[in-house]
Amino acid sequence: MKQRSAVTVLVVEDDANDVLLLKRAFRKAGTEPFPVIHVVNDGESAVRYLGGVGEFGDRRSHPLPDLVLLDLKLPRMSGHEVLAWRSEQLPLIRIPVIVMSSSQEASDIARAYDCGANSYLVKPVELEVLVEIIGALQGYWLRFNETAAVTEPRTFGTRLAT
Amino acid sequence: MRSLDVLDHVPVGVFVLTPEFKVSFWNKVLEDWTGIERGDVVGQDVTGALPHLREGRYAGRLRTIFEGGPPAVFSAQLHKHIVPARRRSGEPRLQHTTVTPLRDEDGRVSALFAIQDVTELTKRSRQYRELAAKVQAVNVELEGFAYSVSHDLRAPLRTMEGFSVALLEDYGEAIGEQGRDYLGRIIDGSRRLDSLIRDLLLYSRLSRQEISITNVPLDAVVREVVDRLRSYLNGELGNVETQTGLPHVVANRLTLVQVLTNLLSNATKFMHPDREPQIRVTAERRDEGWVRVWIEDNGIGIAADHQERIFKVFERLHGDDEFPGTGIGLAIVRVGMERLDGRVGVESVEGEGSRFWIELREGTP
Ligand SMILES: Nc1ncnc2c1ncn2[C@@H]1O[C@H](COP(=O)(O)OP(=O)(O)O)[C@@H](O)[C@H]1O
Ligand SMILES: [Mg+2]
Repeated sequence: MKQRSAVTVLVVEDDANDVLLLKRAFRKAGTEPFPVIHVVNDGESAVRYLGGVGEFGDRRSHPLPDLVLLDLKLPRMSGHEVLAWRSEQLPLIRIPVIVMSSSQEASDIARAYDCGANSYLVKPVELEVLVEIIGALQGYWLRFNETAAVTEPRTFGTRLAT
Repeated sequence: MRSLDVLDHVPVGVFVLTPEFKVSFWNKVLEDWTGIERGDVVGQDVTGALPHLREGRYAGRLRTIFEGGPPAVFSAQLHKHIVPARRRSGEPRLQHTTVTPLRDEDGRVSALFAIQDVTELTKRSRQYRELAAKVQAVNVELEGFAYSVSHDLRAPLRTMEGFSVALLEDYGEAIGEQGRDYLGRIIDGSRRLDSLIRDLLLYSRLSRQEISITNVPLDAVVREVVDRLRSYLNGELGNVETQTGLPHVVANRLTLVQVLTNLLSNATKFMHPDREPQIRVTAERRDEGWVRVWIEDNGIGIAADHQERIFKVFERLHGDDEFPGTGIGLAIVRVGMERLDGRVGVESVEGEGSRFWIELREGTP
């Protein structure tokens, strides 16, 4: 079981309504731990957040998340593209990414896993079902699942050398 | 070369060329195509009628023929007009030409040209290719359409459903009983639209997606479908009797599961109010390697007039209050069975029950 104090989830979602409903579902599920939720609205911002560049440079205000919830259909850079980028970022790839998409097309699902997604969930229409999904997700991914430490890319390089 | 006269009676242009590049035979078809009479060309140097045959790309290959080499093919793609000739419509004749060595009694080898007119064939195969490309384009478009439906149409639905539920939970007290009833209707409506969209997507996916056909054990599939339905209905499936030792069939497992699920869920849904529901799944061998699977119920039955329509998309015989549904279930069954090269049908007496059947080829265990 995890010994962390603040658990962080990065939500990559362009639909403001979906963001609101997702936050409500986290509240309603009532499962511990209740995470700090950071939201970005497109794939490019997700990459910048995870890479810690630009407006996301300060890790105190924008900590590396313990989990990423990723929509697929996003402006500018799709969820698939974010996954493809992540697959080449050695320490960052350790952060589990759960795809949350409306699409149930087999090709989308297969491609997400091919690009390294850790799980794939279909956004339900019923809020009740969303609450159930988020409850299960909190329990499994934030409570029981063991994550590997993710050090910043630069420090990781130095540590390898010693 | 008198023996060649028989070639006047075949629908192929034929002429013979000697190693000296003189024409020694010219059939009727060629007279017809070119307007050049046999008497005017036989015995003459080919340069008069067909000067290009003296050119490198033909002369070289013809020399091989005159040396008794293997036959040569001048395909219509590269050599359209060995014997320049127009059709009555004025368009050039596209030609497919085979050149074969022809040895006479003295061992001299000539070249026998047999020319097929492939103008029509080429035209038709081009039309076919264009049609195939169009169908392909439509399919790609449909795929994009289904994709966009699944994404873009469902997002606003989540908003409607989600915030109505949130409103009901957070402000239900304040808006009073009628307000709560209205919200309940919005929620029902969104859920209903969601199942419609989901069923339509399933229907369109089933008609587009490539499926692999294998030997499927009917026994296991029926058990799986009944078990899943039972847990989905929280055990309220009623009495389902399934025959044991069902044979293997030639099908795609997932498609067959979908078909049987839809038929069985109908059998449990359209129950008669005055009877204990009784459902039976049985199979029998039919002629010539076909297996027929029966799904029988003792429900409300279907009037003869309606037994065909119900297989079309959105066709229902009842209002949503009486029996909920989308009207797509049996359309999915029909398309599924088409994809499996099988058949489907129904026998029913209104008020007594229905016997739906599907037929598939028997497989090997
Ligand atoms: N087992 C059955 N008994 C009586 N009526 C049936 C049965 N199966 C189908 N039907 C009729 O056919 C219609 C179409 O069925 P279906 O396409 O599965 O749509 P749905 O189940 O959503 O109504 C149903 O609305 C019903 O009227
Ligand atoms: Mg149905």
